Amino acid sequence: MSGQQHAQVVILGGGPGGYPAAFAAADHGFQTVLIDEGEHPGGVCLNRGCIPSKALLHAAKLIHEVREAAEWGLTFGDPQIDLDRLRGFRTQVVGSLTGGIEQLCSARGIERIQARGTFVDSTTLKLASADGSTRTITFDHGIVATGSLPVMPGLFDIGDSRVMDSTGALQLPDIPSRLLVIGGGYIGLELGTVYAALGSAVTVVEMTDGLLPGADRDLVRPLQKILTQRFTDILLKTRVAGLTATDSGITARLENENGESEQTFDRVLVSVGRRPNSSGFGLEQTQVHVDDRGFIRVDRHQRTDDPHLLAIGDVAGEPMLAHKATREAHVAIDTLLEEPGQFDCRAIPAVVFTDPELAWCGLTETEAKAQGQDVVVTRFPWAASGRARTLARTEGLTKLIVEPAKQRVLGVGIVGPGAAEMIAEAVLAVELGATARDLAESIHAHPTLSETIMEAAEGVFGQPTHQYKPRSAKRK
Amino acid sequence: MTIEFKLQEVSEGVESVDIAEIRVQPGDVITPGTVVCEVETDKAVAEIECPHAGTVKEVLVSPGDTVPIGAPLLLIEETAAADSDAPQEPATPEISTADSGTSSVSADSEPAAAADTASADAGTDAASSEQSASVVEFLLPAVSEDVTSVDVAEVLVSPGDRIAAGTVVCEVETDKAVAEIECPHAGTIESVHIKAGDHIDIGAPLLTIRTVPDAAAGDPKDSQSGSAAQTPAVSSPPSPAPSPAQPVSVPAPSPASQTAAAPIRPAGSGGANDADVNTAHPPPPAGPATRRLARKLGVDLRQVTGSARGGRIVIEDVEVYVRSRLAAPQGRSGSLATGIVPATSLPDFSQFGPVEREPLNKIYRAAAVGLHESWLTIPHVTQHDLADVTELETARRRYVQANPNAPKITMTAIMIKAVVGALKAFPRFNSSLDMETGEWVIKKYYHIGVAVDTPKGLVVPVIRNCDQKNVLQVAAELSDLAERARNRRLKPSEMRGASFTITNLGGIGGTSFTPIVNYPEVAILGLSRGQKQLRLENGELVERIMLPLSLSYDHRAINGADAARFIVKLSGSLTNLFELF
Ligand SMILES: Cc1cc2nc3c(=O)[nH]c(=O)nc-3n(C[C@H](O)[C@H](O)[C@H](O)COP(=O)(O)OP(=O)(O)OC[C@H]3O[C@@H](n4cnc5c(N)ncnc54)[C@H](O)[C@@H]3O)c2cc1C
Repeated sequence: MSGQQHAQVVILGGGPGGYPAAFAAADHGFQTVLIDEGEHPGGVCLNRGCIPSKALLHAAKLIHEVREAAEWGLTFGDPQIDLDRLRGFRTQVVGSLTGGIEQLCSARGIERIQARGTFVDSTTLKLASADGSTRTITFDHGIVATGSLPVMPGLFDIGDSRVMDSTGALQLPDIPSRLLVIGGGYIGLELGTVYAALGSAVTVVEMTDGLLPGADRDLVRPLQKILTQRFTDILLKTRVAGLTATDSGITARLENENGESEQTFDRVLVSVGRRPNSSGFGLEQTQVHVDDRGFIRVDRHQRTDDPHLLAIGDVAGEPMLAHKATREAHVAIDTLLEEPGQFDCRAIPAVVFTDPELAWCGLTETEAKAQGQDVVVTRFPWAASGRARTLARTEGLTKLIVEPAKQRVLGVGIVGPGAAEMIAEAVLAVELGATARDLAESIHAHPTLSETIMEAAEGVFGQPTHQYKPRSAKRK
Repeated sequence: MTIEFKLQEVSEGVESVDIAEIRVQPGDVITPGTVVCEVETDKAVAEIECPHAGTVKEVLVSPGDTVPIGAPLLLIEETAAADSDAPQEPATPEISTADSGTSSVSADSEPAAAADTASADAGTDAASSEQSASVVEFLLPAVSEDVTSVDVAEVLVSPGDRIAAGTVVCEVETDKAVAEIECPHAGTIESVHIKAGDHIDIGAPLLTIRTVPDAAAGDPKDSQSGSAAQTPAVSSPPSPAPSPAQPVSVPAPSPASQTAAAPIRPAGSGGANDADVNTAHPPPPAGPATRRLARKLGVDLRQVTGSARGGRIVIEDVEVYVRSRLAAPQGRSGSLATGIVPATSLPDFSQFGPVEREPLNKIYRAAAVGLHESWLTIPHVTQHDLADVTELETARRRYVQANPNAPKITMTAIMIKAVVGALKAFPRFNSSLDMETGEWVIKKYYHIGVAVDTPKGLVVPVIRNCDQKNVLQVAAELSDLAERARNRRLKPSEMRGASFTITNLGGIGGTSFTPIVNYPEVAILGLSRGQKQLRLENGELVERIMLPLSLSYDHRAINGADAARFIVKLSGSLTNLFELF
């Protein structure tokens, strides 16, 4: 035990919640310490989440595009995959970003401590370094940003390295001939897409009756159609009842309406969700309240029940997304500064980086129905978009969910290549309370996919230029 | 049975009053219509009549109290009504209104409800549903820029109506247009505080609404992810259906353990504007920057009317709203609603000697706000002169003596007529300055306010259209208004609309003073005591009666030379009587 340190602000966890919080705190003059047990800052997002997965998805997309190009007379031959160099690309991307964060930390005078922190009380953390040494640090304000962990149900935890979680899959240990993906959420579909492009035969098993629970079905459909071609199998309403390790692979017992069957795979990716990381580091020594799903209870100022502690990011509630964590980081520092910040965002974009991409924000049609909310929904199919045609990708769809009286945009959903970038305009529209006419009468560059948002908006009060739908006499 | 008599609406826009006098005491038997107390508003005294008959059981207020409309005044043991078994008061807790505004939960309807709920279960149900429902006051939102008051053209709802959020509840007229007022609250209308023809200010209560209970009344963040309007969930859950996050019901955490070292309040202690996400209806259409400003200023965005396309609320709308609320004299807060924040706090005077505290009454508070605003807004200059009123004074006295039954012609009455003449010659003195458009608003009417000193403070009744009245009519009206001002029987409408003000301290003394302009007027004339002076006239020493005039003016609207011209014209007309009439 070597000495005791004090800081005005201590942030536990260096992910997209923790490090922006540290930056903002330091920028506002707080003496700030950022604690993370990982070797590099950046948390899950940079080291084993968003960034490495997107680097690999970029490679996957290229592989698909090269294949598609054959249809318009461009033949490149089959890709030669050098796994070492592909891993190297991923590692280099991650390394440059985490290195950048390290630099920004020191430029801002933030002390970074690589250690595991455990709360002793509301204002004290015990820090255990990798070398076994420990010390304590006290603070005025603590920000808990410990993120989330992949769920690994005991049923699948058979102690075989061929059964992976997302972290394992991103290591790209090899290209399995047969890959089983358990869970049809975004992480499973993204990583399944990577392995399928690299040559694996991918089977996705999903317990519910559809992929990507939470997304509107009409958006999922075009994606599912393409994935059905790229994947070997998509088994819905199917349960993996057990895994057995054998020499020839991992045998999975699958259960569905048709009964039970067995299939053997070379590797298995378990992507059945993530759980907040709120236990095992002494939160019970504080007054923080953890709910029965493991989330730390916070209010819209990120305040926990403990007056000394704020919480942000995955550990502080759904949706578990990096950009939500970052926004909450800024709210938390506003709270410390007693500024009028508040987590009052109306549109948190959700993006699935499959091919095609799927993105939505604000109210979904499904939610509107469930809540009995009266909404107008317009859809603009990309088959009518010039830009989509030039890309030879016409499966996309842009839809608007609009409040009928003032025609205010409440939600937007997009499926198609580039949806991830396009959703930004939609977020702004929902967040600012724009009306359909605001979108329709703002000029969108031609030819771009963003025009589909404009045309979908035209459909709210008139006819989209590039689409004609005879209407029933009923008019609002 | 016992009923509670609550303070009814006193006059439009008035949300709280000072209790001036209580006319009844416990044990008194009263009949419907008995005046039970007198209350003071900023402007006037009102008598409060009680519609119930019975014996006064308890008086719940005392003189000097400041109470909101709707506050209980008396407990009355109603003699006439059949006795009911259970006193309903404890059983049915009063509904607390959102902002201590007008909630007149009719005392007579309660017993019936209580009698109905015979079974204990039913009673509990009623109570719990009452907790989740809440009563809100819908106040007149800003209609458009510059408009601080409107006339009610038509009221489109009545008590008992169920309305959806966004229902048009009334139409109002401004001097420019007719506007439909949408109510952002959904629920049942409990009471309607306006009727067609009413003249009301922005911020005046229109309706009391019992809102539809919110589905999710838990922790804001939880209900947010539960209703998921804003938070698409992209996780693939390990167990069955991806049921949306179960809204966790959250007991309010106790802030007890908050220590001094912690400037942050624990979760759940919620800020004023936290309500905005926690409701069933769509949030107010405003971007993050606007929302942040609104939070900073404590503005409820649902009260703000958006001016951008599609009714979107922009930063300017919040500013206009705040400005109109500051301009509205009826401060909503129950505390000292002067809006004046002292630069430094007061020292503890008791260290220097004994002190006593005496509350400012409504009139002083209202005056403080007005004077403070004027002083901050107007670059004041005062131009002094002495008017020779020797002949005028002689003529006045002679007339008064000869006509004892005629209205008493005072110097003030004459001055009003003289001022109208000067205003006609210099119309900019009869204007207001519109700094937003860069215009003088020249008034084509001559409504002269006259400051009247009363035991309760300074009030300024207004004599209208003085150009169309002769001095006798003006004098008659003046003495009536002054008399009623001293008895605090002026109506608010009799104190509005002045285009120029006169304040006469001549009856008390002094040689000159610096009056403060009654903003948004641009000038005010002060009179001090007339004094006999020796003057040289054609080489001869003569005794003259000189009346000191002090003209304060808004130097932005009027330049110094014009002020000198105005006062010369004015004092000249007092000397050369023929200019007067
Ligand atoms: C494969 C994958 C792909 C993803 N893709 C996306 C995407 O495209 N877009 C998106 O928005 N989100 C994506 N996410 C989710 C995203 O990564 C998380 O939402 C985000 O990282 C949460 O940030 P955070 O700051 O809350 O916590 P984390 O990023 O989880 O960081 C928490 C940090 O705290 C450290 N820590 C925890 N406890 C302690 C302790 N006691 N002491 C010291 N250190 C501790 C951890 O080591 C970790 O570094 C993805 C996740 C995965 C797994």
